[in-house]
Amino acid sequence: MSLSIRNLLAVLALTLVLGGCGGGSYVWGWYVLSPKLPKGQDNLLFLLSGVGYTVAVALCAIAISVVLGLLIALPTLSTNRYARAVSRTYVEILRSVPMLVMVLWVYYGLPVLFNVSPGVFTAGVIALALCDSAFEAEIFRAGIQSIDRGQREAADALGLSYVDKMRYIVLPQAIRRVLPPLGNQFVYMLKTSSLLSVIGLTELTRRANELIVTEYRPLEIYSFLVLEYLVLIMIASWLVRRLERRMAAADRQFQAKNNS
Amino acid sequence: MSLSATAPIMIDVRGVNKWFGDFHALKGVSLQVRSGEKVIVCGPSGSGKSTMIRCINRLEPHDEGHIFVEGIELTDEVRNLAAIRSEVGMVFQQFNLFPHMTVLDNLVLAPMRVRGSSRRDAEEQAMHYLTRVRIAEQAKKYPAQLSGGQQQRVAIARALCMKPKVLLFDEPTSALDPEMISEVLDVMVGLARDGMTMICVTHEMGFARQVADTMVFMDHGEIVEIAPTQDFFAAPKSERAKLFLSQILAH
Amino acid sequence: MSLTHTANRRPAKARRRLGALDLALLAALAAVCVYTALRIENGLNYRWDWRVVTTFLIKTDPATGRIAPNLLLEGLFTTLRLAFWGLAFAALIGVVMGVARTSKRLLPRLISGAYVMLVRNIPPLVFVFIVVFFIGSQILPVLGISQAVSEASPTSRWWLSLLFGQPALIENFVAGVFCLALFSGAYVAEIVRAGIQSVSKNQIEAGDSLGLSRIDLMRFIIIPQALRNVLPPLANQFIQLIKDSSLVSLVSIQELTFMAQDIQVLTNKVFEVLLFTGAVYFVICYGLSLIFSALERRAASARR
Ligand SMILES: Nc1ncnc2c1ncn2[C@@H]1O[C@H](COP(=O)(O)OP(=O)(O)OP(=O)(O)O)[C@@H](O)[C@H]1O
Ligand SMILES: [Mg+2]
Repeated sequence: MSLSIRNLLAVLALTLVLGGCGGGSYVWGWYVLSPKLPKGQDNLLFLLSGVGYTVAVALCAIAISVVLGLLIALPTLSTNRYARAVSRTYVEILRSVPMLVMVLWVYYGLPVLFNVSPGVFTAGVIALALCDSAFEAEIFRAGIQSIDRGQREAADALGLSYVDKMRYIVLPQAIRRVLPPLGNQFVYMLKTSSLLSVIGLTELTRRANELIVTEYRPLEIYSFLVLEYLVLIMIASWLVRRLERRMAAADRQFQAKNNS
Repeated sequence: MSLSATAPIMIDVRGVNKWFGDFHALKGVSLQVRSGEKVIVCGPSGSGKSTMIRCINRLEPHDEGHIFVEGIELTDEVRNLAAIRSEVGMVFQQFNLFPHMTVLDNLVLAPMRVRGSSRRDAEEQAMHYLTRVRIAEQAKKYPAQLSGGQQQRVAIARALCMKPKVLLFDEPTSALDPEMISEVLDVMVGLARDGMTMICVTHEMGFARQVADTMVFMDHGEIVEIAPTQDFFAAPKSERAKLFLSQILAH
Repeated sequence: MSLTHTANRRPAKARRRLGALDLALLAALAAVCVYTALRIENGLNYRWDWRVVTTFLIKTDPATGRIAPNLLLEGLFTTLRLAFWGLAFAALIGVVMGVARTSKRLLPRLISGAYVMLVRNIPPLVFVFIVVFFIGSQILPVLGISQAVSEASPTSRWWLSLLFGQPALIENFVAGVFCLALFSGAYVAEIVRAGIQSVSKNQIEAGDSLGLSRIDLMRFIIIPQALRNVLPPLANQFIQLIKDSSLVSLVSIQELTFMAQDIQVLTNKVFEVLLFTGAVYFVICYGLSLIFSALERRAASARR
């Protein structure tokens, strides 16, 4: 879903109204985050310092999961039923496992399995990427299947190899339909990365929780946290919308008279 | 058109059966095509014409029987398949040009990737064939910017760029507006003159009379009749072919 | 040129047999499994001990000798209870908010729009923290639920524990349900809105021209048609809700994931417990998706 400035304002208004209602007994203490006080400045910087990890984790995870997703999507299109079964199984299993369970699995399971302890960042990226790869695979499958069958047949009839057929014919056309949902998936990753606070990655949510322990001002700090995410996601979805428009324009150029 | 009866057999289809699920789409189809022969396939809708020619370059695998192209049998063997597909060109009803590539790129892709030609050679050859189908000036355009007839001519040129020994056409003119049909048929007549081996599914009976050596009539998944063109049009042997011809020529 | 005819019979399924590629694939899979198992068993001296799972599933009550569910099974029950109530309230919230999203008046549209926007654009986990903090510490104590529960009669206590789990933890449970319902409600609202808007304008105009009231229009024209478009995404959302319910383990609601982590810390049996937990979620989610798609197919064939 897109997030426009108007909606953001509505959200803020609602939050304030709700805060006002519920806060009959609550004394706000915005001083903890006041940019005018040195303490407040420190706190703000502390909270904002999580943004690096949030963005970095999401970027790394999506990069990996795109590659994984593509590798898993390709067999679903083959005529080989075993290859199809393997990739369907992968998708169905990974889709059904809650992200939190996956995070715990990777963080606590991998060290035992491979005798190396991944840092929280690595573990987080792996967990996010694994979970997401199933969704990525579905996106690729849908994108590739939306390409007219005649395109693949024409490539076959010319004698192109499987790799060439994918590389020159199918994927360049599919990518335009796949990029917008991939962008949304990235926005989703930004949100889900908050789960990594559980294993101690100092991203936005972790920072907020840490500050709450010292300041004990949950409502103010969580409100600020929400604001951080809203802004981050607003920027990301703005980029996605731009991409969508570009892709749609390109699509129109190629499809203009094809349906006639 | 004259056809030497001693020309080598190019395509040999023997007792081919094909099923789609429980539907018996090809029933014991056999057909031989000699080098340089022009075969026109006709028959009512759903009779299995497309299925048959798609089996010849294995866009559809057949379930029983044998298909040989220049003596190489079509099987799951990947090396045979690649060799055969680069010898057998195909032109589709819906053109199936690659919309994200220019006309020129459509033409040079397969020669470069499959034959390993250099871009210069491939482009030179592409321009040669584009000139031959009379749209050299459109080389830098995208398919969507061309008319249907032009697109189909590009598709023919694309198939020619692989220097195929046989060309398969599946109703190449049925997706076209009437005024564009002749420009495509003209190109095909030219190819026939130059001695290309062709198997063509079409309902253009005037074109058939003009170029075909052999007429093949299909119905319900069977080849009902195979006859030299003159004989076929003068007096079809089977009732079904008679009925079909009378219907199609009534227009 | 001969015309051969063969009998109209299907060939044996020749292409079902295993090709070289299939064998290679299966071999690779088997190799990965064996390698992993060996690695765990020998290389790391990790002792598989599946008894952890069975002992924590069921226990015998030392006092009465009766069989009772242990931590894992109790956690699973809590998860199912959470899912059940969460779904019920999410549906309620979602329908109200979804209809409000398509309202002609500005205020309902603004409120529902802001709600949906807010929920969908903040991380689920942050949402859990906020709601549980807010509801748990500010609202629930005022309602006096624990008070009411502790004064309830034995039969109603029995019912309460069947529906909501341990009476002592009921307040906590309610906060969890609220949280899931409010969260999923926003997604349901979007699905409902899309469903309503998928009904064509002509249908609405036809209803209007017959003089139907807005309620009747909803009830007889829009909802029956929208329902068909809405059911598949709703089914997905329900499955998603079950997965999301694992999040409330982080605010000490003792459902499956919470219990699993507890046992993991207690016994140090990472693989058994987490594998089991993942498998349980998979069975529930995949089972549901199979059931839903079967229902969908039946509905589709009934319509024809
Ligand atoms: N992929 C497929 N799956 C199932 N049935 C198919 C498939 N392709 C073709 N058929 C069936 O096989 C029969 C023959 O189809 P085919 O396309 O070969 O007919 P055709 O003679 O080319 O007809 P037309 O003149 O309409 O193109 C038809 O009844 C069709 O329904
Ligand atoms: Mg056809």
